[in-house]
Amino acid sequence: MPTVIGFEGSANKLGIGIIRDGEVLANPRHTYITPPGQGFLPRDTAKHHQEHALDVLKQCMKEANLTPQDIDCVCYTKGPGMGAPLVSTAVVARTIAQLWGVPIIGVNHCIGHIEMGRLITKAENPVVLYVSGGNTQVIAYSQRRYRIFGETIDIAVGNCLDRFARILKLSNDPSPGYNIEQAAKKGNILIDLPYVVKGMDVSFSGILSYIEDVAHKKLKSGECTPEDLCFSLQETIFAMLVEITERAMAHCGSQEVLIVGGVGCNVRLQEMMGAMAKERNAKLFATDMRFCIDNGAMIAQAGWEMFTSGQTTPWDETWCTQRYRTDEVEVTWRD
Amino acid sequence: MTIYRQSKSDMAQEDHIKTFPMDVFPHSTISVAMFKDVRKIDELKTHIVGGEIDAAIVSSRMICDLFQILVAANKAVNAKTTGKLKTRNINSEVVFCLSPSNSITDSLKKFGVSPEDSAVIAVTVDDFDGQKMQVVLQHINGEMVPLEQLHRYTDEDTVKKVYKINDVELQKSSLLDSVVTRIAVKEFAM
Amino acid sequence: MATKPSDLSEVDLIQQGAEARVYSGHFAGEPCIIKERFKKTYRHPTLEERLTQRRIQQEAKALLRCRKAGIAVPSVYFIDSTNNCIYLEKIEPSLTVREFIQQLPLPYSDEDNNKLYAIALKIGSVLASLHNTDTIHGDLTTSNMLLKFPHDAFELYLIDFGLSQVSQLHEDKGVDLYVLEKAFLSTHPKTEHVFEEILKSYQKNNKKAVEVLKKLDEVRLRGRKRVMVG
Repeated sequence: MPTVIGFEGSANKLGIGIIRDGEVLANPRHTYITPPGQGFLPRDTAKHHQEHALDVLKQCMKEANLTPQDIDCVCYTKGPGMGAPLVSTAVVARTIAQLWGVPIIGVNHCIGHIEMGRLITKAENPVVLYVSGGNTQVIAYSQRRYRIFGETIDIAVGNCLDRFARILKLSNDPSPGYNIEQAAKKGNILIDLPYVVKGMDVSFSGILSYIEDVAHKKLKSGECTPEDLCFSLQETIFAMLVEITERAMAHCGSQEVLIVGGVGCNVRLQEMMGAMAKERNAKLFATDMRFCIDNGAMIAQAGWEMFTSGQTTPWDETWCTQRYRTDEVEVTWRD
Repeated sequence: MTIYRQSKSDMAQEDHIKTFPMDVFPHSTISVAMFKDVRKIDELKTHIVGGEIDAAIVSSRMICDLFQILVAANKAVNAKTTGKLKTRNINSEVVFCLSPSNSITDSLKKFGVSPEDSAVIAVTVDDFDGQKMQVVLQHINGEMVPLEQLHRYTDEDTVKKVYKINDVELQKSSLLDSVVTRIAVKEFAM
Repeated sequence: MATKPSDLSEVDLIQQGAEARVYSGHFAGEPCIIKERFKKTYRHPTLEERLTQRRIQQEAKALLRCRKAGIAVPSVYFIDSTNNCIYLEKIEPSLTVREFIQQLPLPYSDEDNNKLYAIALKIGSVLASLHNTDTIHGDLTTSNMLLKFPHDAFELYLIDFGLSQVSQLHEDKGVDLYVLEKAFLSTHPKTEHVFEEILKSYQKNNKKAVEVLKKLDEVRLRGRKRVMVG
């Protein structure tokens, strides 16, 4: 019954969580929020993680009601993500692992989301849509790998949303995506935006540059409101995501779809994916904001799977990497 | 599937009118007949414009196969049933659909009959009792010939020119396929 | 208005995909394929309408463009906008490239490899012609390529142009090849050597191939470049 602690800091969320045999014992998180119109930069984010790491760790241990002796393994996000924040979090993880004399495991961030999604929703073998600020992938498990069937060929959907929120100067609290979602509810006019699906892949840079351009013109002329733009952007990009997910499902013959990652919190996306699933007699699985958004427990969960299937990371391999493909990891805990 | 219909007027003359049911419009039919050595075309045109002839009369020169007519007629019937006729009536629509041009005037000029034509093809839609074609027969001053002879009257060079089909295309495509595709996609490929 | 394929007699449903149902039937005496795009309820109705109409239009345009350029594609018989159906020439007898490759058991014999190379040569040259007309297919897979076998020779047909567009950009052509590469390698394991031949043949027949292949490399790397951070 190993008890595993996980450290996540690949973007602006610092999360530390504890898992024991599929039970989340603690999962506190602290988010670095920038003023409206600004994105978060690596150096400042790393600073934020450094500043809050020990507080969040103490909170975590307290919530779980555990002491260092109870921890069997330390896990951390090896990648992908932003360099400086990844490293600042990894430093804490390495230090703790050495202090507490336990093995350390470097975890792939995407796999953290997938394994958490599987744990919470109990989906058996779903096609996974992983959508966040840094990633957009359609994944399905096959022969010991999480294979990427479709993905963005340029920017992630969350990145597209975040940058658009900046143009409209929406608040980043609690997150830009959340505020776009709220604004979209008040939108009515569906503006014709570039819809780009290429085979099983999608592209967002076109729609972003188009809407950046159009936003100024149309808002100025009063042709539409910011709410209309948010509405149009969501309807278009989410339809693109549902389309490539459906293609993957048709290709794999899958009857389950799971959405993970921060953008997965979006209710409209869940609605659309649910409608598609219903038409195909398939089932939609989604988690709530505790687990959609980057958190420590998901790293702990993936780490727990790796640990119990015999994997640990040698000390000289406990570096971080900004690019870490989901399909690079050998999924030794599934057949 | 072809249904051979007996003309009611002169039983001595052999009847070469062919009627085709429409796959996509099961309650409609297209009837086609061809005539050679047609004279007094000006008079014929007057009767067409006057509304006495409920048929599309097209120049045989521009037709390379019966299939071409059926594809165009199908399109015309679709326009009528969806309330999207671009021309005045179903007959002018058939002529317009045959043409690669979006100009109605140009289409009627190139595909409709003119005094230079000696062979013409008549097309009627929903001619269930054959009356429409009978009226055509009454007004046409020419000899009805079997539709199997259609290719004799095709002017391939003009067809290629009007439909803008070049030799590169004809290396892989038959003339008919090139013509039919253009008819089918006309308004989409602008 | 035109009758829907499902309401027609003598029409067989031969495939149900994510986007469309494909039927086999007849049109004015000719065997035909009817592709019916069905409504996606998850999309906003306005978006749904726009997208469906656009895809029908793109498909129609591309089929004519290809024909004009001497690329083998099905003829179009009728576009029924009301029911979102397109009636196309049925290419028969034919196999998709996917079916053809999947018929060959692994490991490939020399004879099999020769057949594969012959097809790769053809694919490369057809794609080169396609890109020479600045037409981007948008959804290249081995299911969207048909092999017709008159006697010993074969003709390669391209189909399914719903996602196509017109573009001069090397980037778009590179992505077009990337989509094929992904589809090819994920559907047919151990065929890297075959895909290499496709690219070689493409290069021989397309003057701007070097630029396009550079873009292909760039797109391939986008997800993969490893940056190690302490």
